[in-house]
This record gives sequence, structure tokens and C-alpha cells, in this order.
Amino acid sequence: MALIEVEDLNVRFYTEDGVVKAVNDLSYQIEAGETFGVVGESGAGKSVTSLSLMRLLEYPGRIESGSIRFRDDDALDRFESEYPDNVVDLDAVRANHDVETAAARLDDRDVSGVQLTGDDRYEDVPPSELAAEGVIDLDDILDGGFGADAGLVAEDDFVVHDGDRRYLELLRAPDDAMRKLRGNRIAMVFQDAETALNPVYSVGEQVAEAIRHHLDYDEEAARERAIEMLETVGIPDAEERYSDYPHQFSGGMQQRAVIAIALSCDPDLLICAEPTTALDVTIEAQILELLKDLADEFDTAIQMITHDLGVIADICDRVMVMYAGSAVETAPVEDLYYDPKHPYTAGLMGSIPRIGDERERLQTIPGTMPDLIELPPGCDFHPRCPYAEDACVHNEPPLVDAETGEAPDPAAHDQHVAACLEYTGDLTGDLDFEVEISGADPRERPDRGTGPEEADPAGIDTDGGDRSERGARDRNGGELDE
Amino acid sequence: MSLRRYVAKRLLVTIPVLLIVTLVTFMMSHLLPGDPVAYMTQFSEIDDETVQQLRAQYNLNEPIWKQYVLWLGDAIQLEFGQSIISERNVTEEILSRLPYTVLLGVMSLGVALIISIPTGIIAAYKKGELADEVSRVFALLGVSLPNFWLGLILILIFSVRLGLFPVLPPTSYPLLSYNMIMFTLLPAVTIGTASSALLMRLMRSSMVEELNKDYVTMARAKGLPERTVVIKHVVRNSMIAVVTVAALQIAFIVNGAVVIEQVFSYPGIGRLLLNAVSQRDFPIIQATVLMIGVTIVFANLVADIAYAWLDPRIRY
Amino acid sequence: MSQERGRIRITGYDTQTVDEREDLSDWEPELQSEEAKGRMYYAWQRFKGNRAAVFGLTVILLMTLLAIFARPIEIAGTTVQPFSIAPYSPSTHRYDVATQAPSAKYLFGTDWAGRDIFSRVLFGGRWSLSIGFIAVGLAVFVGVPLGAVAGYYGGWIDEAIMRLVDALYAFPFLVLAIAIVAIVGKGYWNMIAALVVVGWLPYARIIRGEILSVKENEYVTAAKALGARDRAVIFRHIVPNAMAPVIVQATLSIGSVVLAAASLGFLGLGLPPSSAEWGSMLSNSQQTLHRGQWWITLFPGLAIFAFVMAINLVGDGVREAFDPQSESGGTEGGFR
Repeated sequence: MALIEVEDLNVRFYTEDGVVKAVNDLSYQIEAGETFGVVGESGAGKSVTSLSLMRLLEYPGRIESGSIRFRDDDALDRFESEYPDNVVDLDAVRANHDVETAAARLDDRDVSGVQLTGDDRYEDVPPSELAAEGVIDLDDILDGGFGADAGLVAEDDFVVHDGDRRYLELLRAPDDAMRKLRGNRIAMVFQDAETALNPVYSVGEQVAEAIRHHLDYDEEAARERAIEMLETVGIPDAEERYSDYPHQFSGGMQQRAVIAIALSCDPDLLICAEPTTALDVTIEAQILELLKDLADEFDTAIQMITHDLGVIADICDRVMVMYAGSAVETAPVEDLYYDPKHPYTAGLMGSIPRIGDERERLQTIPGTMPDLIELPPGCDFHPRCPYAEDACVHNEPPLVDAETGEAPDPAAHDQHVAACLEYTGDLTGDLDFEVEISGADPRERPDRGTGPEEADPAGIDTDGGDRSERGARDRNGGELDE
Repeated sequence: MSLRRYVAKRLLVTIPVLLIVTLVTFMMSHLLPGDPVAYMTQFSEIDDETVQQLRAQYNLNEPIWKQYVLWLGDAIQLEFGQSIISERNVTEEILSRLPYTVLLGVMSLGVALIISIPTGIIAAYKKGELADEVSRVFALLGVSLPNFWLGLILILIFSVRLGLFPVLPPTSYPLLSYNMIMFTLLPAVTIGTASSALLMRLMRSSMVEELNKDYVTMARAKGLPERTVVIKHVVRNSMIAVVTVAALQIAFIVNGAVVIEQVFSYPGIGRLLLNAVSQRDFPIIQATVLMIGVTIVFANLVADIAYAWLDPRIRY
Repeated sequence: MSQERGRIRITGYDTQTVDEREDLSDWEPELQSEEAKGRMYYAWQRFKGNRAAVFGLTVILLMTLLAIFARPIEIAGTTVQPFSIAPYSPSTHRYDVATQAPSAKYLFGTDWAGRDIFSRVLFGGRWSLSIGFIAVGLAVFVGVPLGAVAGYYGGWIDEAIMRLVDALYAFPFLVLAIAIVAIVGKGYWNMIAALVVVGWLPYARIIRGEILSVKENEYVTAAKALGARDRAVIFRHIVPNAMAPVIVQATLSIGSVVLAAASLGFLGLGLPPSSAEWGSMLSNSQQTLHRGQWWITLFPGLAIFAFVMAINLVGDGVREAFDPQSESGGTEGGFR
């Protein structure tokens, strides 16, 4: 089982102007130790997703439905003893309940068929009918996050046994359990380090605070560990700088301090919310390098949220592209870049300017992301898509495996999925964009810092990387003889 | 720079301000139509000997700048001459009344803080709910009510009708006795409520602003209990604005004291000043005004220092 | 996907087809932005929507009308305003009806001299309202130029003016007002003078602050680079922007000025007690309190309270109208 599994997450904001559908039926998984990228334009729902993972979403935002399953053995052991009344065994549930009764209860709660299946055809079909016809089973109800509504599990049964799987259902966890996880097993790195740090307390104190709280260290021990963390993230003279205040650090150092705080209790999952957006390019490179090294060293999974494709190419293993609150494409990183499946992804990559490009105007994707209160009918992207057809207005494309056109297999890990009617076979035209590849692989480098490197005079690489180390160059991309 | 250097720097800046304060007070004697002595003799019977004394005291034959210097020299030594009316030493007069006003001021500030800080915090935390709206109305009332009128109404209700508080000042009780404190309570509440209205809104708006900041989300993301987040992180930041304004409230309280002492016949500096004005007792007027001005300047200095102490960004 | 690796480029993604084709559906986002209008227009719209502020404004207008029409007004012998809402003259002494509790005949009762308090309250509005508006108006008139000079010229002029401001701020305004009245004597214009001497300080600071911040601003540098003259640039750009906080401050100050005038009246340092100024009406009420004559204290105070509260509501409304983001930090009042 993956470290964290998000399934059919729906987040709404109830505002004066209307209901904002910030996140719609979002599903993805992150394996232990992997670096997972979430990329999209502003307003696509990336930061809402991360706040939802930690249940830090505030009014007027609400998590409407869905399931977030977190497998952390340490936390599981601990919670099983601390919350014995909140443990549930799904095998027992399946044995003791039948789908029809459960579905009937969902009828009473006005849950609609589309919420259970994600399929628009069932919008007005009540769950009991779906159950009777065998379209849904108990697992669909449980996985969709409706277990409590259907009376299958109690509202706060969040420690779940399912055959040989064990996990925590975060959307049913009580607040105090969430607090034990936050900063401890799941941690967050913020975009603007300066405002994320409290100006009136020293940096060291802010690192030590989490350590004292979660690991129960005494003051001396916490202080020592905090200094260690500051050293690990590369802050020189860590012992002296422990008592300095945030405004006495530079931007890059502040971000390192925030990373130190996040990693201080050795979490399994690190959520990085655009951590380098506010930094200039050379610092950005250092911070990304730092994150990569630390993730390797501590075997931490990272959810990297960004709008910068270069950052993604640099450090991520797999990527999810978001648009208007939904996932439009998920793939291993190389597959995404060399073989993008969704028109939006292609549009994003096409809009990166290149030296030597003969076009006269910068290419952009026409139009803007729609207001999340009023989403377009059918495919969210169709008003801006060069390949859109009539079918795209009437059908919302499901997220399917790009090869087979079938629903994605939850067990398979490296699938390439995309949400476009092309892959369900419903598109009459063709997606006729292509990826041209030229020159040597920019990601392939012998060693960092030794030997000649890939030519990239002033062009903008898709890999954010290591500008500080460049060898001799050749304009045509070949290697220079040393 | 460290706190010490910051304090030294602020002290240096305060000196010119103090000088101007003394200058303005000194100018009072020269803005009078005529000279101070003529002013005083207009309404009171003063014998010739005293008149001569006064003329000498005010050095009225010297050029202005010399008068100022001489006067300043006297003032620093707390030599202000004698009151026309009571014929007591001015400094003595003032010092005998000062403790009462100080008591009143301290109690007023206490009332203000006790009311404003908890309600401000609650109003901010429950922003938009009933508690917040109620606090808003209360704040508006506090600022709009003429405080002397409030005092009169309070006397009417609590002293005259209900008899809970003494109406006249206890003459023979020492300053910190129970009787005196009870007597001071009603005037302190009168002044304090007006002051608390302002402080409460400030506490609220300060906290609302802080609650929106990233470091609060960060603290929550660290898994800290909500109580720690609010008290350790948010309040600490919000207090910065409040503390500085509270120190500035001293001016407000002195204002209030002058009027309220009249309403309650309270034996403090305010009444002394008002009596002096009505009887043209110029030495008292001038000395009191000077003392008040100097006190406020130091209160502002304290506010600055408190601000620097609370907010490390200022001094480093 | 090919096994090749290297730098990628997307081709064949033709965005022109999006621009050129007909819309596929009728869907169009409805939340469109409207034409931008002037700042004043938006401010007025926000103000109108603020019910408390509109209520306050109504009360102010009502009180103003009552004050004007309370008794006839004569200018140079001609009767400009003939109406008389007040049932009795505010100043006639009639000892036979002295200190009567409120009744149908004397709505607010009578005072020690037999004067109808209701009439006096109506008439007295003239003093309080006029003092409020005039004192604030003059304070703005003094403060804005001084602050502008300080900000614009900088240097020692700025230092001098700002030190003066600091020093004057050191005196609680009532104390200073008392001192001034002690020197120049009582009276309508003397009181206004005292209130102005203390009242101009906030405006000077506001304008100076605005000028300083704009001087740093890049659009000033840009304008200069285009050849505009300092003076023209600053006054054309700064003044419109700076007027907003000045207006907010002024509106809120009216309340504190009226309170201050009332306090001075109460202390006997304002208008003579025979005038119907609300504060002065309260100055003798202490003795009457102990005799239980509550109406002498209640009604004039209530009038002051009503007016100040209304003007504070308006002031809050003005502030929110100009800057809806600002959390109403409370009616901070004009002076302190």
C-alpha cells in the first residue's frame, strides 16, 4: 500500500459569490520515499489540496467528501493503543453488512450516484439502485469516504484494518489525533519563509518547539537536536544562530530554517507548498538540492507543489498536473515530459520559451483558467483546447490509463493516466502535437562538477538545476573535447 | 543594536522634545495679556510685598531668554514659588495631591486593561459572531459617551439611589485604605471604560491581523495545541501594538482625570488645576501644566522602549 | 514514447484554432468584471451600503435641521429663518416653573431658572454642532499646509515642525485647552482657538507621511524623468490620494471635538452657563443630582451622546468606504 492515498477528494468553499469547487474528485497516491510533484497554474487547487491533507482547511472551506488514507506504522501502533475505541476492521464490516442496506442509508442522506462512481451517467440515480444493479459494492462506499454516512463504520473510526493493510483514515480522525500527526509524521514547508516564521521568537526556539512537543525532549535535549537540524540544513554557525531572530536571516537561510522545523521530527511525508517561488534562482537551486539530499537521507516522501515545470523536472519522480481543481494527467516524470498525453500539459510545455525558437510571439495557452464557481460543462479545459470537439462539451472525460483507456489500476504504480476523451476513444480528431527531442539528455550528467556538461547557454532548461557548475560549452549541444 | 543602545538613543531624542515642552509652558506666562503678576492681581487681593516678591521671582525685568533660563533652572530644582491662594509652596501643593491622581490613574488603567484585553481576544477569535458584534457596540458606546456625563449618571445610580459608594471624599483616610479605594473605584471605572473601548478594538484588530498570518498556519502545521498557538504565538505579537497604545493612554487618562476629579470632587491634581484656573493662581497653573507635559513625554518614551523590547525587529 | 532523451520542444500545438473557431457551447462565465469607475464612486457605494453609517448620517442631518429651525435666525436685521420648533425661548427665566420634572408641557422638564430644557437642548445644538465643524475645519486648514511644507521641504523645517508636533502631543489636549482658556479667557472663538491649536496635529502628520511615501515612490521618479516639475507632480498626485485619510480623520475628529467642547463647558471654561450649550447645561447639574433632579443631567448628556455616536458611525463608515480591508480598529477619535 502506498504511504498516502487520496481518493475522490472534494473541497468546497462557501463564499458570498457562490460555491467554489476548489477540488473535484481528486485521486492520487504517494509511495514511501518518493517525490511526487503537483503542478498547475494559480487557482488550480494545489495549495487547497495540501492544506486538506493536513486538515488545516479553514472556514469557508470544507472537505465535502473523499478519503485520505495514511499508512504510517509508528503512528498506527501508537494510535491503536491510544484510541482503542476507534479501531475498525473492514473485513468484519464486510461480513456484517450488505451493500443494499448501506446504500439505502446513503439514499436517506441524499448522496447521489455520481458522487459514488464519479460517472456523470449516474447523476440522478440513487445509490440503492446502483447497489441493486451491482454497479457499486461495499468497497466503493468505503473508499469513497461514505462509510460513516452509510452506517458501516462509526464517524470517528479512523484506525482501519483491511485484510493485511493497516491505515489511518485522516478525514475521520479527531482533532487531537491530527495534531499528533502534524509536524510529527506529516510536515509542511511554506512558500514564504519570512512570514512563516514568528518574528518575535528566535529561530532555534521555533525548531525546538516542535521537538519538545512531539518527541517529548526536555529543553536541553531539544535545543541540541534543534542545533543539529540547523546544521543539517546547511546553516553555518548553527549554535550561534540558534538565538537569532528570523529577520536576521537571508531569504534562503529562512527557508532552510523552515525546512529544519519541518524535518525536526523525522516525518514520513513532507508537503512543500511552492517552497522556492519566493527565492531567486541560485538560491532555489540550493534549496532543491537540499531537499533532494534530505529526502534521500531520511527516506522522506515529498509532495512538491509548484507551478514551475523546471522544479518538477529537477527533483520529482512522478507528477500530477492539475487544472481547475481536478487532475488532468499523472505520470512518471520522464513520461510526462517526453510523452505528454493531455493537451493542457502539452500547452504548458509549449509555452516555455526557447532560445533559437523562430516564432515571433511567446506562445501561451489562450484564455484563462475558469472561475471555480462556474466551471465549463463537460471537460473543464475545452474552451481553451485546440483539439476540443462537440463531444468535449457534453462529456466530462474520466481519468484513464493512456494506453488502455481503462480506469487506472490502484495497485499499479507507474501508470500514465490522463483525462481526455482521446484516450477513451471518444475523440474523432487526433491530438497531433508532438515532442521534438534534440541534443543530449540534460538530465544525464556524469558527475556534478566534473567534466564537460550539457550546453545550455542562456536557454531555459526544463530542469531547474545546477547552474553554478557549468563546464565548457558548445552551442550545438555537443561535448567539447577537453 | 542592543536594547541598551536603543534606549540611550531614544533618551537623546527625548531631550529636545522636553526642552520644547518647557519652552511652551514658559511661553504661557508671555502669552498673557499683560504680565503674570497683573494676571494674578486682577482677581485676587495681593499685598504689595507679595507683588514685589512675585516680580522678582519672575525676573520680569530681564530679557526673555534670560527669564527662560532662570525659570528653567528653578523648575529643575522644583522651585515654583508659592500659590497665591493657599500661600503654600507650589511643589508641596502638587506633591500632596499627586498620589491621589496616581492612584486614580493606576486604577483606571487597570480597569481598562482588565476589560479590554480578554474581550479583545475573544472578539478577534470569534470574529463575526455575536460576541464580536457586542464588543463593537460596546466600543462605540465607550468612545461616544461624554465621560463626565457617564460619571454623573454613575453617581446618580450607584451613590444617590443605591448608596453603594460614598459620595464625598473620605478626608481622614490614608491613600491606600479600603475606604479610599472604594471611593476611587467609581471614578476609575468612569475613566477606564472609555479607555477600554479604544484598547479593546485595537486588541481585536491587532489579533485579527495576526491570525491571518502564515506563522499561525505554520504553528498549527507543527501540531501545536490551539491554546498554545493563540497564547504563545498570536497574543504575543498582538500585544506589541496594544502595549504601546496603553502607554499612550496615560495622556487620555490624565485628560479624563481632570474632568472626572471635578465630577467626583476627587482630591487630585486635576481639581488643583481647575481651581487654580478659576482663581488665576498662575504659579500652580504653570507648574501643573509643566509636570503633566513632562510626565507624558516620559510615558511616550516608556512606550517606545516597551515596543522595542517586545519586537526584536526594531532593535536589531 | 521514444527512447531518445534530450531537450524537448512541443510542435504542432496550434493555439490559433482556439481563437479562430466558433464557440463550442453557449457557456460563458457570468462573473465578469465591470467597467472601472472612479474611487469616489466606489467609496460612496460602499458607504451607502453600510446601514449603520447611513443611520448615523441621518441622525446628524436631523440634528442639524433641528438646530437650524429651533429658533428664528436673523442676519443683519432680516429674518433668514422664521421657523421655531422649540416651544419656548431658551433663555427666559420663569421662576414659577423652576425645576419641574418632565411633563407634557415641558418635555424634558425645567431647570433651576424655569427654562424649558427641551427648547434649550434643541437650541443648544447650534453651539455644539458649529463648534465641531468649525474647529475641525480650521484644524485641517492649519494642519494640512504645515504637514505638506514639512514633508515637501524636509530638512530642518521638517525637523522643527515635527518636534513641535511631538511637544504639543505631549500635552493632553484638555490640559492644553484649559491652559489656553486660562490665558485668553472664555468665549466661543477662544474655545475654538484652543481646540484648533491642539487639533491640527494629526493632519500634519498624515499629510507629511503621505508626501514622504510618495516622494519615494517610483511613479514620482518616472514623472520627473519625463520632465515634470516637483511641485506639480507632488501636488497633483499626492493631494487626491492623501485626502482620503484626512477626510476619515476629520470625520472622526468631529466627535472628539464636540466632546472636548462639552467638557470645557462642563468645567465652566466654555460658553457662559446661560447659553444653551450642552456641556455648560451640565456644569451645574452636580448639585441637582443629589436632590434627585435627574432630568437636568440626563437630556443634555443624551444629546451629546447621540450626536457623537452618530458622527462616529459616519466616521467609521467613511473609513470603511475608503478602505474596506481595514478592520475597523474602533473609533479612535480625533485627538488621542
